[in-house]
Amino acid sequence: MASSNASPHREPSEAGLGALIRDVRVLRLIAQFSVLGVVILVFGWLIANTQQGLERASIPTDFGFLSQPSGFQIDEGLSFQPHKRTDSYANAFLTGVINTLRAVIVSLVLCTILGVVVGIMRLSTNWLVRMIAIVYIEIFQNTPLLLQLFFIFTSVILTLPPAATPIVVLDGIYLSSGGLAMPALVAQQNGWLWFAFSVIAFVLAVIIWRQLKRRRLESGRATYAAEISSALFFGVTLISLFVLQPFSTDYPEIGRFGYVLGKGAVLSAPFFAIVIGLVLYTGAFIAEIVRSGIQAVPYGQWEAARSQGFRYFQILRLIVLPQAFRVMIPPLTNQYLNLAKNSSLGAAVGFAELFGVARTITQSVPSVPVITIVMVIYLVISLGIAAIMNILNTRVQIKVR
Amino acid sequence: MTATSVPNTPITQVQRPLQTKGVLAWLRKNLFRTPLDTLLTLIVGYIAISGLVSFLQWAITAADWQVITINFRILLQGRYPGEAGGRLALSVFLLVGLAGLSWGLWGRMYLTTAVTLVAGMIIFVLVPLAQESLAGSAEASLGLYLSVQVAPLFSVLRDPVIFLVILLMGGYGIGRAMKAVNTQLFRRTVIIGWFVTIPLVFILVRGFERDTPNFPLVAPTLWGGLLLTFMLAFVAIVACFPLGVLLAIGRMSGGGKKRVWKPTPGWFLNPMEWYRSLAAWWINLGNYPILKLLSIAYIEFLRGVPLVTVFFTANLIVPLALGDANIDAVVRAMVALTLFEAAYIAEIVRGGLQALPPGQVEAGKALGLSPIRIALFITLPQAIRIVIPALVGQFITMFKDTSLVAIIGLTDLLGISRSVLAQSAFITRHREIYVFVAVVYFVFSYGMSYAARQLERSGSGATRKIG
Repeated sequence: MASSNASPHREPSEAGLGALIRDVRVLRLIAQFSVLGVVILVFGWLIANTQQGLERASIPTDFGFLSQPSGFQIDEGLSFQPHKRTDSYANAFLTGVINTLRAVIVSLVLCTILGVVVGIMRLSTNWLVRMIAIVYIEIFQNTPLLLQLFFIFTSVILTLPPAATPIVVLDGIYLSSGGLAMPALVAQQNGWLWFAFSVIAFVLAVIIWRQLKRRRLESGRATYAAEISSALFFGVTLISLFVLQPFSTDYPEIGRFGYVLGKGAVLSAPFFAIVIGLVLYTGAFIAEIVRSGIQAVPYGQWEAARSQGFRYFQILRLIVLPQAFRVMIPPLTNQYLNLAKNSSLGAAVGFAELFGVARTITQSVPSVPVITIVMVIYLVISLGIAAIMNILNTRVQIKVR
Repeated sequence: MTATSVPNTPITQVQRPLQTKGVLAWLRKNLFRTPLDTLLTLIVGYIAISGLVSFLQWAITAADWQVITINFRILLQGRYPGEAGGRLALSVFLLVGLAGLSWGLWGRMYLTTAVTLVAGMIIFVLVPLAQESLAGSAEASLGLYLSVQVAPLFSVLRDPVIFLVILLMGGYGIGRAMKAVNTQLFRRTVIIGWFVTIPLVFILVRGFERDTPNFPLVAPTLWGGLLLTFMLAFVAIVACFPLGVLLAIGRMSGGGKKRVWKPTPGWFLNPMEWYRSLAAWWINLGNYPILKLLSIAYIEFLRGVPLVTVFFTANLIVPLALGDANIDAVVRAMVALTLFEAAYIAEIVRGGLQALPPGQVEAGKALGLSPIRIALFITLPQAIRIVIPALVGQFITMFKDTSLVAIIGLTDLLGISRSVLAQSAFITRHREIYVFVAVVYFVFSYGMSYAARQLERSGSGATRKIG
């Protein structure tokens, strides 16, 4: 670089090897490269060993198996029988990923709602409500998720009546140890038309909402932005729903051995177990985050709002929670990442998510490529969640100019 | 509006001030403040009470607690040989005694805690006694049930519980006395005591070689139940900490001059700009770019994958990678847990290091300390002090995470409860077993978080008292 002679670490009078090995930058490089060398050596030795072992047993380590038929079937997925015996291993992985995402997305939404509700309950002035929140949080934070899953699956869901004689929740909705069966909506020919109407109505509603909101900010008069735009959206969606009749309902049927396959929408018992487990477990942690987030908002904000005549829930919704949200996002991101990773425990209750599928696959395929694929997919999911939350974080932080 | 338009009507009714003391006032303030509050109290109260009642009804009239009584030893120590049980007892004695001493030296026992402990002890004494009186005249079904199902469980638990509570409170008393005599000296002694005891306990549980007369080897494959859970958590907590600190330092390593590079319009068309951006990135990594990148890669990789996949790898690939060297499945799980949790510890310690004002390092440099000394004597002690609450939270997570070894077939507390349930005699007793296991996990996790709160309150945590 430009002024190496001016560096305070080197004696300018010396030259040659002696100067070189006394230069702190060279020493740093040597130290780092020796660490790197050790890491590479250890890894190389492990990999070489693994390869030798695999070759001795003549096990292939490439990804060629992905296109071969898997020989097992998965009944859990978006459609009825998403993975048949003759489908490829790649399809099995895809089914696993879809199931993981299904469980993660549903639990993510539900645990956030639960966490916010319990976090507010935790700060209630009502002693009983507060105690219930504390007991819930302590119980679910201080016991392992895997134990909770086993309990929910074995001791709650599986003790429901069998699917042949289910509990009728409402007409057409059945609950049993086989899971929850609901009427399915099947899109007709003009389903896309209804969808297009709703999208157009949504876009229009957003435009009108922004206009009205701007007008309110300019004139100071109430323009009922939220009411008008939501009336527009729901009005168009519901009226076109009645006029077009784009869906036909497919009711679940109950046969001698339980729910009839391919009839209605069935949420399986393992899916239920993993979603309830993840929601209850993560909800306890999110409740604590919400509590500390609300407490981080200065009490003067409450008092100021109260002196302006706001009511309790108005203060929460309009003043405290938006400010608490800023503090909450980093720990919330951590909890969402934990939730995504914890979804791998679904395998323990027989939910066919990514890790469970991979475990099944390793029974017929060498494990090294399978584990590589699984870890890469989990890394991608984690990075995706982290990226979305980072964008959200930069959006809600106060802009300092 | 003018100031004169104040209503001039005479006040006819003077409202009596509400009571501010007593049970009624408390009820009004905390449960029936407003009509909405009253409604909420009634609804929530009804749900809570009916839930509690049905649980208690199940627990003392329907549950078959014999399954715990019969399998008690297995749940606690797995296949650990009975003749070596004394070694376990000695280990527990050492650890609980030290915990009591530390409590006395650093924390305070509040009256409610003491009352809870003593009351718990008394219950464990009374219930088995009640059994004897009930057994004779056990005509009522509840009495019969209590004497057959509940009391034996309590009499199995009685001696260990009494022993532990007395040991803990005795240790606490001695700790208080020590604190009164010479706080600093005894605190140091106890810290050294922990450092000696932890490896000692490991040796006690494991033993030496196969045929030594006094302490024969008990292979880790024989550890099970709560013992295995503890040993996994124990080894992981002790071993992941130094590794995590090293990784944190690696990731925090910086220094050197910063180079500013700003993208100019159309920079990606100019190869020189590519070089400049890369060079700026590399230089801004600091004095140890390779170490920093290695640490980041390690931390972010392990934080991005689930623990089960790491256990799975340890189970399937490590035997292949190590060739003929046969490593026990328990040891593999310990190593996997340690490597995994080190990444989380590293991030926590990094948070502490980042919270330190830069003047601390600069002051160290000004005194002519080497970077290693700066880390050991200036930055790390302060950084770790700041993050004690987060560290304890991670240790609790680690303790709960040990239960995942059940998925790869080890018999920790959860795994062994699954194998108890697999026996045909106990197959329907899942509720009893899971409730018992949950209580055990809860007691230790809650104890740890309670201890952390005490430590924080004592001022040994985030802030240090000067003088």
